Amino acid sequence: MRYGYKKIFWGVFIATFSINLGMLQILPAFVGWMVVASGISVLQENSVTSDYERPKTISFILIGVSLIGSLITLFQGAQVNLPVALLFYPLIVMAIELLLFHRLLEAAVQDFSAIDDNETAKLYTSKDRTFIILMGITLGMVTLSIFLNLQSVGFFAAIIAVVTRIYLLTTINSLSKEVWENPYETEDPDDDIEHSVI
Amino acid sequence: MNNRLLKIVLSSVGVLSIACLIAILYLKLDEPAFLKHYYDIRTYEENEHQQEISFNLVYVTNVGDKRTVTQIDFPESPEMIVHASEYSHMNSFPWVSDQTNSPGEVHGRYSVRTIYCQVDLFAENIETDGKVISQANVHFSDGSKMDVDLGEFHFYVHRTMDQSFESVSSSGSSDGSSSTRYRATEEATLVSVESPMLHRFADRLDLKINGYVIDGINGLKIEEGKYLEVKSKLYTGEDPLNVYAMIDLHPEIIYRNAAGDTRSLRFYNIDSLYHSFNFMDLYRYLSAREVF
Repeated sequence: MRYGYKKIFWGVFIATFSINLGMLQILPAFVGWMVVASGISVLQENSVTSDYERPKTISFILIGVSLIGSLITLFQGAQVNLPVALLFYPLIVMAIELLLFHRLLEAAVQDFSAIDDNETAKLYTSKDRTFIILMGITLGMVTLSIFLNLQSVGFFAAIIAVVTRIYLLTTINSLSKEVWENPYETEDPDDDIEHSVI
Repeated sequence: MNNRLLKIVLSSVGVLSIACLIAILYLKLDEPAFLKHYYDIRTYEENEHQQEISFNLVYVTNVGDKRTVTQIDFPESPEMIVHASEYSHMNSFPWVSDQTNSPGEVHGRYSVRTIYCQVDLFAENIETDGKVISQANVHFSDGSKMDVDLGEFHFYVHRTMDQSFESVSSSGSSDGSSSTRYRATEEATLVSVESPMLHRFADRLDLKINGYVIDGINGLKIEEGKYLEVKSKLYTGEDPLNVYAMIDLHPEIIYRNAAGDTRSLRFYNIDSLYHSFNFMDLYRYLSAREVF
């Protein structure tokens, strides 16, 4: 489980800070979402209690949408007037991200509940709620900044988006450090041998 | 619990974004809206000055409009060659290209663009005195064209002649008021003030010559060494259409000099060329123009 969350953490990190080498984007956002999808697959393999199928499907949608986004970026430099609806592309991506991480946290909460760790389950339910609220504020601010096209509103939208993303990264990071007493996940195979001998 | 919150957040954002999309589509201009320009344009008799005839045109377009104006023709004067560009000729750092981004001032959903025009009268011997232009064919970088009602351009030829006045001082303020002072080098008698466009602004222009309204200056004597003071203030008024009109008038004071010859003196202090645009005023202006 820890490995899965670590992968998700780095996936989100790449998707957030797409690395550019001059004009060339060496790590575009969709690569980050691919890493997230593979991280979710790891979680799915290691968890018997929760259903990671939905977050996995959403992550695939996100990969597709990000690929389309890369194509839009290609056209942005050209002297072509893009359709108005494309203005709302970032909103669509962010709404899918919200769905993905809510489902992921929901699955984590179910896992904790299954191992009777209700304290941790409660903690992540509350983290999920905070994330939804932060993301809601971000989405609202981004919508307004798209409409008003004012630098000041855009600046506040960017700040709140960064805060939300840092909150998400710290949440995933703390998930990767939690104790997952899953019978199917053995941290050290030798432990089991010793137990069986005793 | 969290699922319910998620539904509330997503549906609120959905409603907000649909409302914004509708507003964006409503505020979208079908085609650029050119401000009305009322310019007196000075041309010269001597050829060496001809290349300096330049003026700016201003238009409002949608914020995402990547087209730029590349050419302007005047159908009323097809022989007049106009060099038009949205990129200023006076770029002090020629190696810094500003052509990668769309030019213009962005105000909310709109972009206010300036077209720098230079009229080439040098090549052809074009008669400009008294020429009036109100229409233009504007060509854009994507190959599209549009016919534009520009306002009114009055060309006149500036003739150098012996004047009875010498310029002393001139001042202007952003509130539309300005003042110019001349000193009479000989006795002169004022006759009238001529301008083809003054009547357009009669209701919002306060123009006084030595304290007299222009209809009352006939016969006004200015003795040698005395001052001729032209004071003007152009008010915006209530009409939102007036807010963004581009005005540069050069009225002509007709006078008789000491010898009794008729002379004229142009003054250049009625203008409104620099506006501080903002989104709400632009919206009111465009609504008044009925472009939505």
